[in-house]
Amino acid sequence: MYQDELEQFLQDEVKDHRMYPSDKIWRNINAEVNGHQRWPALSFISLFIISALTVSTLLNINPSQKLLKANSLRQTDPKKLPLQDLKHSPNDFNATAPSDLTANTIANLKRKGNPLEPDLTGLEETPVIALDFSKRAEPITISKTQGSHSTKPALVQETAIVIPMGSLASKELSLEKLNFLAEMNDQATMSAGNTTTESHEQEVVLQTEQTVEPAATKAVKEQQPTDQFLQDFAYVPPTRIEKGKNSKFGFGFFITPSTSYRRLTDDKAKDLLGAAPASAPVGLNYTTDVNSIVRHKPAVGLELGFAVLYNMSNRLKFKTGIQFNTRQYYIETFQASTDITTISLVNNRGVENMSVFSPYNNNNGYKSTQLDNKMYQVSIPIGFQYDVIQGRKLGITAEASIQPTFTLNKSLYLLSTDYKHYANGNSLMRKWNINSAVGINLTYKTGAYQWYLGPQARFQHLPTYSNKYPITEYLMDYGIRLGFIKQLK
Amino acid sequence: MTEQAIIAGCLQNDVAAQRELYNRYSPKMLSVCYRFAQSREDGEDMLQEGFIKVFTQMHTFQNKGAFEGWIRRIIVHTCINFLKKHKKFNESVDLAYADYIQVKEETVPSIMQARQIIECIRLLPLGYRTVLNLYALEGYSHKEIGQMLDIEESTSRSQYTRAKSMLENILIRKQIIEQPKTEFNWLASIKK
Repeated sequence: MYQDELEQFLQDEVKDHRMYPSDKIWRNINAEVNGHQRWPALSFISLFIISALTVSTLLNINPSQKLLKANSLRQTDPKKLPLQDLKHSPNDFNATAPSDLTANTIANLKRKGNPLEPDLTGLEETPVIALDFSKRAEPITISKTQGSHSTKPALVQETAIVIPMGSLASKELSLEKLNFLAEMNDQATMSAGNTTTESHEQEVVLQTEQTVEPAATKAVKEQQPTDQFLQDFAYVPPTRIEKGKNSKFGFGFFITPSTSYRRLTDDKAKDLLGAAPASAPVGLNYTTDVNSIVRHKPAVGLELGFAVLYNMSNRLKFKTGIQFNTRQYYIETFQASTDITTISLVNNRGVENMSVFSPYNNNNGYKSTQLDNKMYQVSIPIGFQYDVIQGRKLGITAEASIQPTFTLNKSLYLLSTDYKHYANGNSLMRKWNINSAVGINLTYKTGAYQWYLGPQARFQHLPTYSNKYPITEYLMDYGIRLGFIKQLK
Repeated sequence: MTEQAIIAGCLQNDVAAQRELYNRYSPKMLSVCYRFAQSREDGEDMLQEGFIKVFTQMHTFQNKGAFEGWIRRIIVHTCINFLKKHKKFNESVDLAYADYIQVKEETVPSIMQARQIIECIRLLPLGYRTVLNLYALEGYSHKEIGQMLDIEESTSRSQYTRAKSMLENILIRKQIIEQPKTEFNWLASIKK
């Protein structure tokens, strides 16, 4: 072969040769030239998380903790912290009027007697101990002369907090309220640098109140539930209340309506069959992307499942179970006269052609029709659930799982490798596959049940059909999961 | 979509036009890249870099020549720069190596003749292959090749001659071409 002939031969043979790059090349180029594509779902998920966080924060306020904080601050510096910051209603003190309080106390003391108080008549002249929560609770100092009390100095500075008389109307005052009032008064007194004598006097009064309480009243009080006052103002010690230990196991059910999508790639087909029209039947429109040749529509699918959970830690749970899935998409095609079409299969020996009959033509026919590529699957999700936020009622969890999946049905249509027909693809369908799922849920606790709702995504990792079939198909589902979990006792 | 419409669209950063251009020319250009590259992955990287240049340098196209030729030149230059950048030219290009090349059946898929020829070209040492690609298939002169590869023009000529000889041997061994009757004299003249 002469020099020019070889060059000519090479040019003739090679100049029209084509190879087909993988899809990711275009994605990379597009990202480089036009910037990264925005993902609308990311905005949605971000909005969802922010909303959930806001709601859970607003609904997760614990009044007792707030009071505890307020109390501790007040004890540190009562002058700086106004008592009106505390959450209460004007009716909190309606149970007992201060006048009644004073009268009852005096009456009780008179009835039972107080060994530590030599002269009970002097009590009537003691300053009024009252609370005014509607005003700034600054201690006030009252100076008075007490000549009649042998146990007190002649001049005593006493501090009290004043409650308007009119705002209190009820007849009874519980022991807890008295304790609270005494505590408030103690603090006020201490802050004013009161004498020990005065403290002793208050202590005497309280002791008296405890000792003189009628048995009948006490019994009624024990039967009654804690009133609003205590709920709002009771001191909550920072110790944890021991609860009965739950089992580490839980179970749940869930349902996920979803939309199924598919992604087709034909790099392998283009590489191996693309420029070999003699050995493999290639369509006229073969140079374009396979996704633009087919007309597929996403369809609604469903996931139903039973889950078993094991608490590995306070937040992390191992999750498994069983899940039943239906996933499908529609194929727009034409009913045509039955024709022989070819499916080229790639294996170690090279390319093998399989001739099959098909009544469905991708390009033309006498009637348009819709094929339903539906799959019924059973899978075993194995994964983890993590409590991102644990509120009292609301929370957010994230979960991820790997799902070995077995396909039950055998009624799938695949595209012939000449891209002209759809044929029965049952014999090439992959029975076992691997899926993975990720999701994030907003949770809500009602009693023993925890309900959850949130977006889920499920991806198929192996092609739907065997590796021999050069057009690969990957399925993905996007849905909203609703379910509940019950923690076992 | 016409070529002019594609160019106009690309100048306005229209993604659809860019995609159309890519769909139309990327298969041919990947084949070019593959001939220069050591592997398909390298070829795809070259293609990616090349098309990024095509899209970003679109305004420099002046409608004076064929649009495909313009793209091809960008791609070829990208391939050469890629090879230089990744120091692929450090390989030995000793002609004696050609005698020991074993063209195994599995390394050249018997799918189609064009692909077989390309695989045969890819069996050549990188330096030979590059010169052969540039001269015989891309139409560059030895002077241009010398400038592109930073070598003497005479070096380009000699490498091309050796590359062609080696390739011919491979093609004959693969029975893609027949041994020409006049080959003896021609080879003899080369070996002298």
